[in-house]
Amino acid sequence: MKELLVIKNLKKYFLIENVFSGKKDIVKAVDDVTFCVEKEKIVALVGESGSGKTTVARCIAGLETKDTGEILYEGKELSFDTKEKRRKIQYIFQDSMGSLNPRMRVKDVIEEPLKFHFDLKGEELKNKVNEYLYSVGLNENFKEKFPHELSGGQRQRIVIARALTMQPSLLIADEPVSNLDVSIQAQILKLFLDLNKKEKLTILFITHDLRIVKNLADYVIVMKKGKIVEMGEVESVFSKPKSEYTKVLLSSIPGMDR
Amino acid sequence: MNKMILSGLILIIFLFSIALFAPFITKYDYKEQNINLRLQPPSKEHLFGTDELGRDVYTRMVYGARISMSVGIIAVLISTILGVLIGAISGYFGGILDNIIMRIVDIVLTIPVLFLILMLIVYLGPSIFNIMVIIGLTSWTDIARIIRAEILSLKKQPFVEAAKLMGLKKRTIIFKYLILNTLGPVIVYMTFGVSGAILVESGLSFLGLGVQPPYPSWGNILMSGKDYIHSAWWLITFPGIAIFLAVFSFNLLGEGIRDYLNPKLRNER
Amino acid sequence: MKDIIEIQNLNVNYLIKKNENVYALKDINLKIKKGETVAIVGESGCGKTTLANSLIKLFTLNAEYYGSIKIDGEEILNKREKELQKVRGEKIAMIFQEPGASLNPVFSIKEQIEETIKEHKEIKDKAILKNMSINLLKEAGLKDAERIYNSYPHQLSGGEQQRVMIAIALSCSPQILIADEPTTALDVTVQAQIIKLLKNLREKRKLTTILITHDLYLAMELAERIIVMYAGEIVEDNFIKSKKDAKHPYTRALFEIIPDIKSNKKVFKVIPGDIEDMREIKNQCYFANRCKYAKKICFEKHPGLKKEKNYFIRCYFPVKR
Repeated sequence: MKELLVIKNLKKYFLIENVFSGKKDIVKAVDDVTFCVEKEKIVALVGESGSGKTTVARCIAGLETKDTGEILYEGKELSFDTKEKRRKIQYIFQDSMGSLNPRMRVKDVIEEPLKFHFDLKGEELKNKVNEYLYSVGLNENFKEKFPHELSGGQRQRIVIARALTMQPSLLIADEPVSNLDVSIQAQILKLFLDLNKKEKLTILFITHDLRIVKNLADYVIVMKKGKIVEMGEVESVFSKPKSEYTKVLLSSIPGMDR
Repeated sequence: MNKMILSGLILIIFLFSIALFAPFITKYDYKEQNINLRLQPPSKEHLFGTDELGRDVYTRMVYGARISMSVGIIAVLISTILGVLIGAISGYFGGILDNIIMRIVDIVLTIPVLFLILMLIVYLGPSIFNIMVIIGLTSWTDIARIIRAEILSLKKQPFVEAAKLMGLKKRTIIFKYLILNTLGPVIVYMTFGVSGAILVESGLSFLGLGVQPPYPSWGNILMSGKDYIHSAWWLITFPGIAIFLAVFSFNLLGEGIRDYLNPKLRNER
Repeated sequence: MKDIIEIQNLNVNYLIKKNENVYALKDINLKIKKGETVAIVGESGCGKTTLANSLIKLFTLNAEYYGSIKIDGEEILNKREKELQKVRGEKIAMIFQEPGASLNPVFSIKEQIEETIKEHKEIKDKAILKNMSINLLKEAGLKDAERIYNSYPHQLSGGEQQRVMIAIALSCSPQILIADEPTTALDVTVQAQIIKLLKNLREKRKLTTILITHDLYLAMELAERIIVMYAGEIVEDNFIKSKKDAKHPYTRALFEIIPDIKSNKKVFKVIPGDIEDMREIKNQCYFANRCKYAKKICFEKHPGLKKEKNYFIRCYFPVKR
């Protein structure tokens, strides 16, 4: 089948308790969301803060538990009860510094999943580590370094390499370049594009920056306050947006009126 | 390496060496009594004088160092291991387990520690082993709370979630990802813990509930000394200085490490 | 038109270890006229924030600085704290990147706005203070100013907080407004509103505006004069409306790598290499290692900032096409 992931009527509500007044508020972070992600495509999930895009992504990755609705992976209900199943969906966070254990060297970071999932040892392990470092544009000189000795872009590459070692079918990236400088952003975005084209990796890319979406994604899903307001192929949504909100987002892009 | 850590370490190594090389730096037996030579002031023959039973105070001080240092360190090891494990489990699993553990901590904290220790010693009998274990078992609550708080904040960090995404076992996550990142506060706690334990042991021995004669402890030398404050000043002065030095050196080390860790952490982030 | 800001040979370095310096600003020379709007563009480490902070003489304890900064004719680098307090707020006001962090969480908006007015204008009458505050909040685009006036920072959204910051900045009627990445932490729709607000305010109050940002297109939204910084230096000081106006290879590269909203191609151009290590002073062009036009001399001699027609450029081979 074409669809790697099918989301149906997903709902996730949070209960926020006001510490002072004792009142409880329900925050409808994800409020009846339905969409699908085709294999080997890049789907962008777009929205502003509070749109629910991160919560949707976290539910898919198993970092949150959904309240109601279906998440189907390859036609079957999503579960992570075996090592293989857990490998298949990986997640890249926005904060590259926080994504790495401060006590582990780059070498340990990349080795850990290779040892845990594939039982690699010795020479084979060493070569695989080098292979993954090269695949993200780094080299062996980084192996002994600690996270705080790396730049933001280098850290994000290590994070991506770590995710790749598990040979996932779906990579979810949550604002992976928002904290990086423009020139470094471009390098990491190019990396994502290459991974999709060469390794046929399906990517769910969360961002608020529509400029990235235009150049990276095949499909775009626009969210606002927990609901999907528009979705479709990037070209058509950008050239003929149907929702008022999408139009507002497009016009807010700096340089849009030039 | 800052000056506090360096000076603290030098003093500690000095005290350690004294304890370690005790047989080589003393010529008398610490139990050897000599009624003829009782309450002699410091002299060439007896560097720190003699006590009320004619025993050489210097020798007793040196062997007393062994007691004080070992009680301090082992008591702290017990309380640290206990406290870290309890705090980590409480923080990691949360929920009802966390609640129960924290209520137990609250209950333990309401009992005045010194009285608890005294009661237990009286009940179980004063011996060096009992002292170590009792001090250890009654002082784990502070570190447990500290570790629990650290783990609660670490849990939210992306790298811990990343570990879950890898499917790593809970055991691995708790030790390699959480506890390993709390080493800073743990080391600081341990150094202050040693000085605290030394003080407690000295206090217990002074009250007669600690190390029993003929074994020497700085505390029990002080105990015998209290009856001769005006006539034999050396019986109080030397153990007092020793206790002060030991506590001071560990506190210095602890403060030095705490200061060293802070700005470094800021740079790292 | 008079120069309201005149910076000459400004050098700032930070002492991070015993013999290690980070050279944050190297030989900055810059003049800004009264009423002008300027955008300073660059990536992290380029020195733009240090430059902004220098204008209000906000240095960290480990900073060393040399040179001259004149605000409205007065040298500020040798002024003492007390004298500086007059300059800050009345001549220059600044708004920062994270509005939430700039507001004291335990005081209400009322208290924070009025504190500034009391300090600078020495007004004590409560009714007058309230009136002024509400008006400032309205001027900053907050329609329900009364509610905001009585609120605490955590009760406001990011956009509202930034507008409060702008209101506070305007409370002393400054002549110069510096905005250091004011919208980076905000949603994109809010960003557009804040930029619109800044445009209105500078019209109304005839403000000299300095925008610090890493986003070239955002810079061009607000300003015609763009100052591009790299590795602690100004590499281009020019009137840029589009890519073809840019003369420095780095500026051109920035245009090329920012994803173009109008392009249909799925291609990302990159600038190879990493951002410069700011701990060394080299006698070469700092961008040479990453520049596709670099020739031998670029690696042998550090280029100076040259004046050409109506712009400044630090390059031996400016892109003319």
